[in-house]
Amino acid sequence: MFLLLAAVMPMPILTRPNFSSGSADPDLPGKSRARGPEQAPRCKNPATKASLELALKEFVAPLISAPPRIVLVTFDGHGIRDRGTMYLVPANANLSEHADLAEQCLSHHQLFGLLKKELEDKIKIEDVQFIVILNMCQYLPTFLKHHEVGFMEGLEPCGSSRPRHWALCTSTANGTKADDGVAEQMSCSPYLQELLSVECGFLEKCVC
Amino acid sequence: MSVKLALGRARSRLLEQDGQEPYLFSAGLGEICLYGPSTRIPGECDVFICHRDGTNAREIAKELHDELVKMPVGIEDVDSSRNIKVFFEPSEGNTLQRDQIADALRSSTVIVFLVPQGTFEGISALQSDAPGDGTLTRLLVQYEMALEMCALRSDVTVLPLLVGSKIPGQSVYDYVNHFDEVQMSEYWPVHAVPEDLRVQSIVKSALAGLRRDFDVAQNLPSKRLNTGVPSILQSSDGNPSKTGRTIKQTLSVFRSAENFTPHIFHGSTRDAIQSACKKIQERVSSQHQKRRRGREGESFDGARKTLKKSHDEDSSGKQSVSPDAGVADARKSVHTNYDANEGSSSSAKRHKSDSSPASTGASMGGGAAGVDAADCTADSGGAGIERINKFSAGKEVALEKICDLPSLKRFNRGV
Repeated sequence: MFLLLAAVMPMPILTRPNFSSGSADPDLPGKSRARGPEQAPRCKNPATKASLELALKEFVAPLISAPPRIVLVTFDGHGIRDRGTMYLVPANANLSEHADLAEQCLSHHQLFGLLKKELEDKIKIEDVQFIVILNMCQYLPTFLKHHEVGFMEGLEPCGSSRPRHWALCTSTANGTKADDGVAEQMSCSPYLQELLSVECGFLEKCVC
Repeated sequence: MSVKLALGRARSRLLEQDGQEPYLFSAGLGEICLYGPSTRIPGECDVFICHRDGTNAREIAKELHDELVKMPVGIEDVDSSRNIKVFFEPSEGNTLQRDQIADALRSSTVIVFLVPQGTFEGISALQSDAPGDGTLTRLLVQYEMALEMCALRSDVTVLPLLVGSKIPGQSVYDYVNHFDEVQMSEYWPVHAVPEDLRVQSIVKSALAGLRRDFDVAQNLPSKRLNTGVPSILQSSDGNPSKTGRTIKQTLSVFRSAENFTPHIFHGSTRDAIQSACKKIQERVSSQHQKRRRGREGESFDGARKTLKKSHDEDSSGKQSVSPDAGVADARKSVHTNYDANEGSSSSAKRHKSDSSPASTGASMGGGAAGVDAADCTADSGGAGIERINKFSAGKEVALEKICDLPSLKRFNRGV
């Protein structure tokens, strides 16, 4: 289970991050910087909901003084979807009933809310983009099902507690399980790998 | 490259891999870009002369350059106020040489390939991991970019100049019969190119060059080009490691006279230069007119939008056919596709046939995000846009016809 956090700095020209050394492309006229996934803070196997929140807070705290262009959070791990909410399940979560979800897991609404409260609300820049990639199951085990029959709800983060510019990428569809993959080989989620591919063009610039 | 397009493209590529069913929800990302839009391309050109470094083609390129820059852009009454701007090699300066080449190529309307025999020498030994700094790979980068530009923009054309062999001791070039297959294989050694050869450094450099232009970056297609070959981004078999067309496909397209009719560089040097320059000038003039009509079309579009607004205001409460009905339909279709797919894994499978990023960035529930009309032009799915463009680019449509709403209605119905 990984929680990976990255901030792309607000430079006019961006370069694909150099994963190994972290240096910018020396050929580029003008300085350009980008912190890529390999350089980014990484929280492996967060034990509890509190540790997930703490990792996020520690990540965004230094960004207040140097607001980035893009904030990227990817989560690879156990997940549960209950109607319009996706829950990031910490490593030590012990779920036995529906109420445990909200108590022990971090919902994606809370995640976006935290990003807004801890960063967007504290900076004056309004065009920071918050991208969250959730590479996890969207399946609700039977024993956690709620008695109330609710409507199928969308995943749009709560309006009052989400950043202005946001994107939520999920690796799989509602009601389905995500591929486990091989944790040791997983440097980042498939979605992020595609984003960073040459063909996609995200962060790709002047690579020769 | 906008973040929204990048996210959508990543999703499309994941879908092609036939693994899971990724989704994208977003709001407010459309206006913000990672790089671009660039307002102006530095060193804008009309003609880009593409030749292999270190060969005698450089001498011809320079002579063509020296002659062309003395010639006016227009042949008759079309904008003869300035001379043709030509690029044939980068210069020392603040801008990187590779960027100078990329910018000049992207801004040119006529891309001239100087092809003497032996231009592609060494191509049979080219490997997929070949470094990008060789003269051949640098040349092929320009070929890849040129093909993408031709596919993207109707006001860009490629003119291959087949240079005859120089007769020893004389300043005379032999004639080249471009219908002679044997002779052509010496100019375009398609047979010598390894099958399925894709050179990663060439793809990277070509993409980096193309993406220096915001509009180009946004509209790079991931489907077959109108010349029948895959685009540089297309995954032909769903395998990401085999993305894009092969070198063989690229050369085959340029070799085909049906796609790009060559001009033969032959006779005395002076005659050959003058003949080639005249041909290039004709192309420049023609493409210049196309570009000008395109600009007029843009202002025509602007007038249409104004008209539509006033028409909508006038007819509020009444059902009417708006001039932008095609766009609206396309937009509606995008939303409908998306809404039908979210939350249902079986219906999501249907979505796999649609690799358009435009159809991925839609809103949920409250509709915080919208699909811009511009999104529909990205890769596919923009039938409405296409209809509108054809209409607005039609030179025979007089501006006063904007007010003729019935004719607009007829157009929108496909009459």
